[in-house]
Amino acid sequence: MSGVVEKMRASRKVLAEYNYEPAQIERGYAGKTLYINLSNKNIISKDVTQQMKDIFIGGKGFGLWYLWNAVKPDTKWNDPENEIIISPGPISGITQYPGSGKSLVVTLSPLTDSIMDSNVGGFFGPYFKFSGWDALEIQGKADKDVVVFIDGDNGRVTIEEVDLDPSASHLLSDQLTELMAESEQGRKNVSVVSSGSGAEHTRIGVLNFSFYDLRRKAARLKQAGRGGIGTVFRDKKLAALVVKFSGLSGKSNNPADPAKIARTGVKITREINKFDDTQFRMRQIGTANLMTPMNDYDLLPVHNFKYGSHKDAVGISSEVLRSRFTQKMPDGCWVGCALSCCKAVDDFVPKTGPFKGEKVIVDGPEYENAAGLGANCGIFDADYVIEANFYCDTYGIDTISTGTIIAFIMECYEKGIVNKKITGGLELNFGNAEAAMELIHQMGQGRGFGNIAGQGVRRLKKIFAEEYGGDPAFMQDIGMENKGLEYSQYQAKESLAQQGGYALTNKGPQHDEAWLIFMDMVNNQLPTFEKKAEALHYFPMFRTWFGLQGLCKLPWNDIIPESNATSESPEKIPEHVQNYVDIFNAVTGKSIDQDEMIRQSERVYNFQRVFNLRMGFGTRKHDAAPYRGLGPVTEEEYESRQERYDKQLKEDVGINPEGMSTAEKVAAMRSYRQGRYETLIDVVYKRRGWNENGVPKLEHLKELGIDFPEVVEVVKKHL
Amino acid sequence: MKIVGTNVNECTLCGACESTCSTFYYKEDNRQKSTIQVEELPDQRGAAISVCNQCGDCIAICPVLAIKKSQSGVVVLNKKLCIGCYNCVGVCPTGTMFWHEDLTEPFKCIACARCTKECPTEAIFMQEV
Amino acid sequence: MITVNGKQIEWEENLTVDRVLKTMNYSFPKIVVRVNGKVVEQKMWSAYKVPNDAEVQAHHLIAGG
Repeated sequence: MSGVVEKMRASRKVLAEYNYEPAQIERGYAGKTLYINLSNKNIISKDVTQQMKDIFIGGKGFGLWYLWNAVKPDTKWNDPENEIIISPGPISGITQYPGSGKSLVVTLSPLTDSIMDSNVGGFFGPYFKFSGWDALEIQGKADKDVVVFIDGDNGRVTIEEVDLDPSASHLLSDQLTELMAESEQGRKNVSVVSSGSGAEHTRIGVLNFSFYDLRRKAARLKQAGRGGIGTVFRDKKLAALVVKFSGLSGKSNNPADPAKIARTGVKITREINKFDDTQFRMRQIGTANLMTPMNDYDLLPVHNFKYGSHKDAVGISSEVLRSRFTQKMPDGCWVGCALSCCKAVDDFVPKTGPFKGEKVIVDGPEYENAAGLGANCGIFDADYVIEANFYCDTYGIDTISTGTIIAFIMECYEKGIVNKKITGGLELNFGNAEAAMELIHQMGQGRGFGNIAGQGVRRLKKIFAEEYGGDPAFMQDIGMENKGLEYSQYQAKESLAQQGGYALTNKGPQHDEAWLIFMDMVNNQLPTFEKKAEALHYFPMFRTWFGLQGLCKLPWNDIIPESNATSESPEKIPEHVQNYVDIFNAVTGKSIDQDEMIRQSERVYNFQRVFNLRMGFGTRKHDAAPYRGLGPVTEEEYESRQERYDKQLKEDVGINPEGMSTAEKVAAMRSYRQGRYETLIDVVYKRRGWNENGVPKLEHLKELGIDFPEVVEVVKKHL
Repeated sequence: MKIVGTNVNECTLCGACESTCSTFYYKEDNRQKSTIQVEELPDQRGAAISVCNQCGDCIAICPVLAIKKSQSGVVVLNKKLCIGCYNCVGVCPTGTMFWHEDLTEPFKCIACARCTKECPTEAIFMQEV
Repeated sequence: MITVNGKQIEWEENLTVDRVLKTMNYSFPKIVVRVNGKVVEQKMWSAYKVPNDAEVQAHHLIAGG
């Protein structure tokens, strides 16, 4: 045992202890929720009711239900009654179907002040469930840093003080894994949830969920990245959650029909082996396979979403990133995932910061990291992207928000809204990798201008306007946030459907609800408002379902079965949709069909919308998008794609651009595009069963069976 | 090392190998639980014999390191470590990492030679490679 | 004139599928091409002549985020 871990072990002080008989898993459910209050150190077991299983299913559904019951309309993210709920969902933990080990995390966000949810891999969710729990509810705040240990082997939960350093998540994950495991062989049975020092100093903290890599003999990390959940975690003085479960087998989830799961699993596993190398190469490159096509199709965000491509993007192309991955075999964030998109750069030696000169393992870079930290900031250097990726993870800050924040600041810097004096000497021009890296260290360590940057784009706009005289209207146009959450990394100017896919969301502009850019912009499969609205109904509902079950989205459409070639609706991947219906039925013993699957999601999706209303959000004004996300804000943007925009003015808007100044053309284009966005909102709301202000109609809630008195009470105020 | 060699021209599809294997390892005469499986090819093209050639492609794919080469070179699946994900089934180039709906873990030939002793025509035999 | 994913482009003599994709800047490696509803296999793209007034669908198989 290493000296650090030995000291940690000697320092363990149990503040509260709860012993229990681990519940037997029945058809994907443990039937119990573990509630922990960090203020009074209360630990209790709650029953999961049949109504919860019927209406909220699990995962995000359970998270939303518990949070609804825990908070009041005026609860703030840092009030003790705010909770962090982690729930794996009924399918989570099966080993036969790829992407089946996810956890869903729900809390009130320090960025949006409303409900946040995040879908994360790693071993924690399945091990936690097999330790006897469908959900973990954490409420209250400790006075000093504490660790919660959940020993599923012996049925023991403790809240403990441990002498540890919570600032670097990759080290803490390794140390706590070693501490909790009885032997080196036992480390694979442990998973740690932790954050880092960046979560203490910013509003964009993440939770890192570990998965032990038997080949590298190290705990690797997956992030519940969006919306500052790590910030809430550290505000509660949680240093880590640690779970141990040693009995994993192919039947731990105790499904109703294991043979059906095996059949479906073997089918898709063979499909992946046959087609992945000639399709998306998830096993070789992971999500970074998107870097090159996004740049080629003018969809890669460059210079704070001004542009969609750059001549230097070849520096961080899919192939360049692939050449940096050092793994010898594909690996996944849950055992048995044949799609295995996890990638790592081994023995990377950072050039800066607290780990300068040391060898570290970097998880990634994934598409979002390379696009956001790299291209969007005008930095096309793979070494920078890998180092920035490493530090964001270990400081516990969100790579996506970090990328969009730095890009926003860089544009403000180039416009003179902020200067060197304000940034403490950082010359934050687009492309300045050294300054950007230093800003990440400042955010991670709570130093200098990093303390301001870490507040996120929404608060930066206010600070820059109030303190430095920045033009609020201009910053509103270029600050890529909606609902307070920073945009993820796709250039959606030429896809109206995706503009809705970003901004007409429950939690904010993350593309996990819908990714329609190619369907809409390139394939032209959604030529009318009605078709766009249908896509903005179906896909968000379908994709919400992954979050109810504890599933990953990638094996749905990052591998394409042969049957798709002759399918009526290839974009839905019908064979895989049926696979999901089959495994849900096989786990739970129910007999749902594809329509009921969408209904399950609709209930939870609409409940989340109502929950937003209850917290003072969730209406039409909160679905507004910054104009940078809809069209060219500045003359330089317009002129960079002048041919395209002039053609659109002529053909789509019906205005002859000849003789018009660029400023006039920008204004004409803006009026047209904003009009279309408003029309899209009208049509989408109608399709979703909402009124023109985005409020779910009572009859729709009734039809869905979620017209509980407390839900109706919230909605009635808005009708 | 020794593997089970095949000479399909000699195979009469009698199924003795399958019975021997499943009876020994799974205590039932069920060809679907045998680690060697014979079938008749269509259009009178004779027999096909599926049995592991101990290539080891499954070793690298196993997420829990449950598959190893033994000292004698035979590829062995440790069922105590196996978590039943079937990634090895998906990756197997010869289709001889088998699985059965009744069984949580997949199964394969470990070159024990029992089947070769029961084969009436020497269609299967132990072969040094 | 032909339409490609709903957009009109000029037709010319001996217009191949390859040429159409190049004109549209469709460089993505996984595209299913249909000409007047009929799938044209990738190995035929350099030889297949697209007739005038054809409706071409170039369906990009890309999953995205």
